[in-house]
Amino acid sequence: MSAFLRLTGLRKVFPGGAVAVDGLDLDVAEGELVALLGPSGCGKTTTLRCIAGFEDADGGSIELAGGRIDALPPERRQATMVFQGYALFPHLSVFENVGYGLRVRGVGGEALRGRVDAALDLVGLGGLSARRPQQLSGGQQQRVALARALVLEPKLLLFDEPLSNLDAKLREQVRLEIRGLQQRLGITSVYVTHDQAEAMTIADRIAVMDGGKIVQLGAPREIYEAPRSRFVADFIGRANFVRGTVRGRVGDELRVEALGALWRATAGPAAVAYAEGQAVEVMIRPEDLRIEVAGSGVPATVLSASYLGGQAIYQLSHATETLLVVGVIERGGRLLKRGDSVGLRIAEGTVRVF
Amino acid sequence: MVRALTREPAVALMAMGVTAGIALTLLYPLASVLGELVAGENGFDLTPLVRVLTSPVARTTIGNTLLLGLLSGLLATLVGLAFALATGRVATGPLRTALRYAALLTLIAPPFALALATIFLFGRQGLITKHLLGMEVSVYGLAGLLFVQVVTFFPVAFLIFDGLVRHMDPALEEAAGNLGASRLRVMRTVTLPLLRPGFAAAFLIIFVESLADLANPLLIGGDFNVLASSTYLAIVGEYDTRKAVAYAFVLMLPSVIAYFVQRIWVEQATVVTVTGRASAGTLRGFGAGVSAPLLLGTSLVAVLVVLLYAAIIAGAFTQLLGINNSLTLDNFRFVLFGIGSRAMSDTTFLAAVAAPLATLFGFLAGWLVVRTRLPGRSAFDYLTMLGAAAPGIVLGLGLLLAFNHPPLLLSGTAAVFVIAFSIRTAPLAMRSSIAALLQIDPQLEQASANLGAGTLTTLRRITVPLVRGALLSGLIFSFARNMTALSTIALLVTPNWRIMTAQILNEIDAQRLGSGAAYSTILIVIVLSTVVLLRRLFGRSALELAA
Repeated sequence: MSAFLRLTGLRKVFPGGAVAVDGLDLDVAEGELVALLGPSGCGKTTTLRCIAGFEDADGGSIELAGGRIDALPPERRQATMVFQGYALFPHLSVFENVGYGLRVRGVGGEALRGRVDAALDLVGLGGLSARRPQQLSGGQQQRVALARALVLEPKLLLFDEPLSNLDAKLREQVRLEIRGLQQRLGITSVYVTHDQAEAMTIADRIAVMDGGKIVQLGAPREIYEAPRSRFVADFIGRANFVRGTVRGRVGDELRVEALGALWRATAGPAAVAYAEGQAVEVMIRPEDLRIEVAGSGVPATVLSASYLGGQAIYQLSHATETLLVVGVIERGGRLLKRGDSVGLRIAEGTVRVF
Repeated sequence: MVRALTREPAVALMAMGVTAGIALTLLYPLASVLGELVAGENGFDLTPLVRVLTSPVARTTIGNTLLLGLLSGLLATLVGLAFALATGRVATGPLRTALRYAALLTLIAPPFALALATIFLFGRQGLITKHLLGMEVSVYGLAGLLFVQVVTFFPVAFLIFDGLVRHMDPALEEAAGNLGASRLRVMRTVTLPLLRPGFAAAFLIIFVESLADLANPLLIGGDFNVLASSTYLAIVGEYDTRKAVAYAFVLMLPSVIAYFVQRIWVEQATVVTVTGRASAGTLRGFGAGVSAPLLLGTSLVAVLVVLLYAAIIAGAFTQLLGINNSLTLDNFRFVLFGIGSRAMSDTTFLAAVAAPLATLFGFLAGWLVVRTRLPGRSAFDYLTMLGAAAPGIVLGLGLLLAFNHPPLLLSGTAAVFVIAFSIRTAPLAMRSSIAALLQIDPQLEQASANLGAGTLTTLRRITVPLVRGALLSGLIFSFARNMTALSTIALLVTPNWRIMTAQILNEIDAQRLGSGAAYSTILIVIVLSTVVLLRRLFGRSALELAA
């Protein structure tokens, strides 16, 4: 896989000494969408702003389509951005907003009109070109911002938490639309978000960031099923962490004692070298715990049950541990109640130790 | 930083332009004053300065100046506070509106107008003192001067306190009352202490204005000489540059110090005000013991203000108000069609040329301060503000000294007036540009750059259209300020260019008080229409801008 966008050793230190981006490496293939995912302050937005040229990197290089762009001013980088608050120009109409970049490049007349109309059609705003941004709904404004970035046929599309101002329902709809457009047009994209569900829906690969570095990079499923650290496991999806003790080793795997039983566990990079007797945290995803009748598996008591439509989230207790478990509730199926006693099994190969 | 500069030649060019502008039109004239101050026959020499300043006359003058500034500052602050409390907390309905308008009316008075009206009403031939009360009094001197300055400057204090009173959180007074404090006690222990930042700011601003005031001391000061008028007279009457420079220097120091102290104060006070507004609810009155004197006092002042304005207009339409009260249009004929018409067209032309220049300059300086990471950019802010902080007479003296010899021989040309007008209004344009720019999300400009627009294109297509309102109001306001400017240009007038305010001074000197009043009336009409225009365009904030 050849890199279309390549960040090498990218570093940004803010005045005052806070290290926002700390030697970050990232390759993005042509046509790929990579999501930068992490909690606030992890450096994801700063990385994006370095690519766009709004921040001068203090070290490292940024290459796009084979050429260095880190010394170029923002206006010459050909990496258009969809801003968090959209940043639509309030004194210009929708048409003028979308046509702004073309006009700046000297495109006018029929060519301008044709391309702007095409871009507006693409995002489904064909009839609204005379409106002012303030007259549009949040979702429509978001589409204008997208059209404004797309119309320039940029080498790279940058998204800075583009959906964070939309309500939950609209967010799900628009992110599918963005993903559809991006795949159809084959535009290489970097997408910053703190919402793991959004990252999983939209990205070819997710770069989970913490402390200015990428701590894990991979396809959404890989990140979810094989997190390499407790941070990643905790940040992506729900996870149970229980206390355990290393009791031995079988090949690459560890044997750990937890919840009163012995389990085979996949070891994260840090845990490979753990010796017998080492106290560890054991991670189990809620859906990897199966509820069975009391007396089989790990005994547990129901603390609370939340029905979510088609499935239920149970809070169970075993000794001093509390566990989240997802149970499928079929039509007419039984919902457990507080105080019910159950047994728990863990799906093979899903236990991880960090 | 260096990289940012070389990458943005347009920004570098602008920065150089602004730097050159400040250096040439502001620093160079001020340096000329300093240069003249220390230049002896054989280089550096302070003895002439010391000799001037230790003379008994100089000591009296300095003492007078400080005394007047102090008294004006204190009294005008109190009157302003009374108006803010009366309109904000006691008066309602039409009375409240009337008091507010009265308080803001004197803001638009051109120099001389109120002093002239005071002479008409309270002078030796005064309508009130002589004809109504039969008294023989002189208004010339400290008392008259103090009266005029307090009437002129109390609106400044009013606007400051008005902001504080209106943003006061009612919950604080409610809490005090709820804890058992009487209304008077609430006022003493909560209300007034919350207004404390206003006292310092109002006093300092008025102190500076009083020091810089040239028109009123010249007209009504009599034997009570102050530094500003003495500086003027040293040049105009005695042709003694050394003396003028020494006075100017002494005048400059407290003004600039007070001005910058005040700016720091005001900035802190604003923070307090903003965090202080919270809960809903309405503020209660103060009880009759406080309300009645407040209403009575402020109403009296308001009536006085209206009378003063009426006197100016009456003076303009009579032969010589108080002596020969027959109605006439001669004064206007003289002003509009006689030699005065030159002054009107000249002044309007110069003011109209200077206003856009100063607005543009102020905007660019503000933009550099807010939007770039130029090293030393805050120096633009502080240096430009010197133009507003320094007394006008000092700047005028500086311009006179700097531009009356090569390499920049500009004396008597339109350029020197344009510069004189611009250095006064550019700081205000800069402050309002900075305020407007801070309201704009930087993401809009970043989005423009991201879409391929260079710095200049972004400035032209995005930034300027978004702050258009502030620029336009700055432009109109600058024009009005230019029309009424006196102290900066008083030393610069030559027969080549006639300036209305200077012309008023001449008329009054020649005892043609009627045409002085006619000039004043015309200026009031011009400024009033400007304010009305601003209000039409931008709502009430424009009136506050006039402060």
